[in-house]
Amino acid sequence: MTAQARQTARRACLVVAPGGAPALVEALRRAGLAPVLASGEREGLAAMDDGPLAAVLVSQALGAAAAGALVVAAGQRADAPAIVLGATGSVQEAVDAMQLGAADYLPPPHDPHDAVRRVDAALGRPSRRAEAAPRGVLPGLVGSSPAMRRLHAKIERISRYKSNVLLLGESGTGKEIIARALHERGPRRHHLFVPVNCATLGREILENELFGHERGAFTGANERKRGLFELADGGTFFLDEIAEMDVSTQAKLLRVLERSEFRRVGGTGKVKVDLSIVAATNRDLEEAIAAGRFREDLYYRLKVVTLVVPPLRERREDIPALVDAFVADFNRRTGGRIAGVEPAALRLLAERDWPGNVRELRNAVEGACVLATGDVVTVEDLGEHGAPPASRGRAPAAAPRRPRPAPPEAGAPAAGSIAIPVDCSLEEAERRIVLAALRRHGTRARTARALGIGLRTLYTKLARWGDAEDAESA
Amino acid sequence: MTRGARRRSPGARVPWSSEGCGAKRPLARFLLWKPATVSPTARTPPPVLLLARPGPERDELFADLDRREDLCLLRVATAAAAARAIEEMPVALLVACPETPAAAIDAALASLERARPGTPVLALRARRAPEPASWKARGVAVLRLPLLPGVLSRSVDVVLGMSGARKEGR
Repeated sequence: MTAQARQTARRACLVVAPGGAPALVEALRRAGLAPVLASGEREGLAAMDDGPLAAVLVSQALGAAAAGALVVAAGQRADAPAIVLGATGSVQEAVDAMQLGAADYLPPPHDPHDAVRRVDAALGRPSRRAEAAPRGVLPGLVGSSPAMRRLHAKIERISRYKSNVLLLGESGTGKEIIARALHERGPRRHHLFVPVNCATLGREILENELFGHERGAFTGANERKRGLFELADGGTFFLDEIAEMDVSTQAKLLRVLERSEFRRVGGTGKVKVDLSIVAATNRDLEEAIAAGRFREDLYYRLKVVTLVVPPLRERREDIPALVDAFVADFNRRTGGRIAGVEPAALRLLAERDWPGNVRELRNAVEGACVLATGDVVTVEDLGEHGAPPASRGRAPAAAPRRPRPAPPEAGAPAAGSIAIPVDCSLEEAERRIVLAALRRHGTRARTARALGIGLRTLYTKLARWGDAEDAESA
Repeated sequence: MTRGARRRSPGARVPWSSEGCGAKRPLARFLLWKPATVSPTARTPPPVLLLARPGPERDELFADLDRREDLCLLRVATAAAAARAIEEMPVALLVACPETPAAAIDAALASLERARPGTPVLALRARRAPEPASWKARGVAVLRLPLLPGVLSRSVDVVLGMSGARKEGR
């Protein structure tokens, strides 16, 4: 965008009113804004697609439905604050406008100078998009590789609809970020996005969280509790690690998907909800179906639209851009002043396989930024990630965020092994083995598979040992 | 006490006074002196009454409002406490949480109509919760859950702006 175009975008102000609101248009012009006129919904929507706008003024005289559509579109299409020019001046009309996402409401009669003042105030405020997503960018979706371009295009297409989506991809590829992107770009963006990790909760607790319970449903249920499905009504529900969900809970989820209704635990009445479900897994669901661990009917219900998220090793060309984004994110969050990563270090980062994918890369970059002695991250700052890939064999897990326990007294163990003292307690031995496996395999899912235990069991153990943070970073 | 008496003189009946307990002297005398020392152009934040039972969910819902220094938030849990607060404070807006029974809101409305007619009421309700037909006629605005960040705060601003309380309060 040229400087002139940017200047025009800062000043362009769309006014959608049946009569053209000449006094208002004149006041906006005198205030240095560039009013663009539209007399109806269709014309207004077309004007939003024509070019960037600084603000949108919508008259309720168009009718509640048309005005509502324009207010929503101002946020979604133009990312511009909407100011509603009221028709009745009732409090409910004003509150309805706010609920749809308007930045301000001007009751009748519309004083043009008051309108200009409100436009000025709205332009000084952060946009609704910024309020809804304070981080502004989605670092995990950075990249211009062919694989990411295809993914971006699919997200844009899919997010127009309220379809259920199945996200497939290795751990750490950014499935939750994509689920959020689908929600924030989609028609449900004005409602809630509720994420739940199915692997972290046992069957009964998960059902209680999802469906809620009636008073007296079980010992300790002293009052009715609304479930997360009710909380997410109208919005998007993200079920992470869906393959870990118990088969009986899968049957209840299927009912939610098929009939948009469920019963609270211990309840008889049906609760209706209107939701989009985005489910994600790093497992092979067809294999899980064959093994009887996943319901086939649920699988077909979920995979209305399937998105496969590429692992980082298949889009290495995105690594420099991702590193830049993570450094900028680190600076923003911590007040750091890291200018970047030196070319040699960047080359090493780009050569690695990153079994923990984007999450592992992010942790490695953050660790290096913390350790950097200057304002540029060097090879030395990368620590274990700075070793040439050929000398390491398999890539290790992400850099730990906090000091690890001291290595066993028996000295440095050989690669792929750990030394455990004979008088070590069983609990401590188990802890060392699990943490070593976690470091080696990089992700919780791979670690659980390698150890021959369930993912939920692994989560429980890590939580018990207070290593949840490490588990997150892995 | 009539509303006229309350307006006639700030000293006639002081908010937070011990009058109801039988004593004549206000509990917090400095409140009486404060207006004399403050510039007549200084504006006080408009009092907003929250009718909400305590709980973490509600705290989260009202966090936006809690952080604002340009509002004087007063939180009460019951309709009786709301009635008392309406009697004693120049409430500019009543906000009722989603769990407040319709009967409690009706009782608070009656108190407002008696003591401060024209005061706007904002009732937060679950997305599909029914609302009494009489509310519309009595000027109750309903804001439906779930709320996006900032919606409640902006709604309060707009409603206070419409009633003039915000301009006076600034």
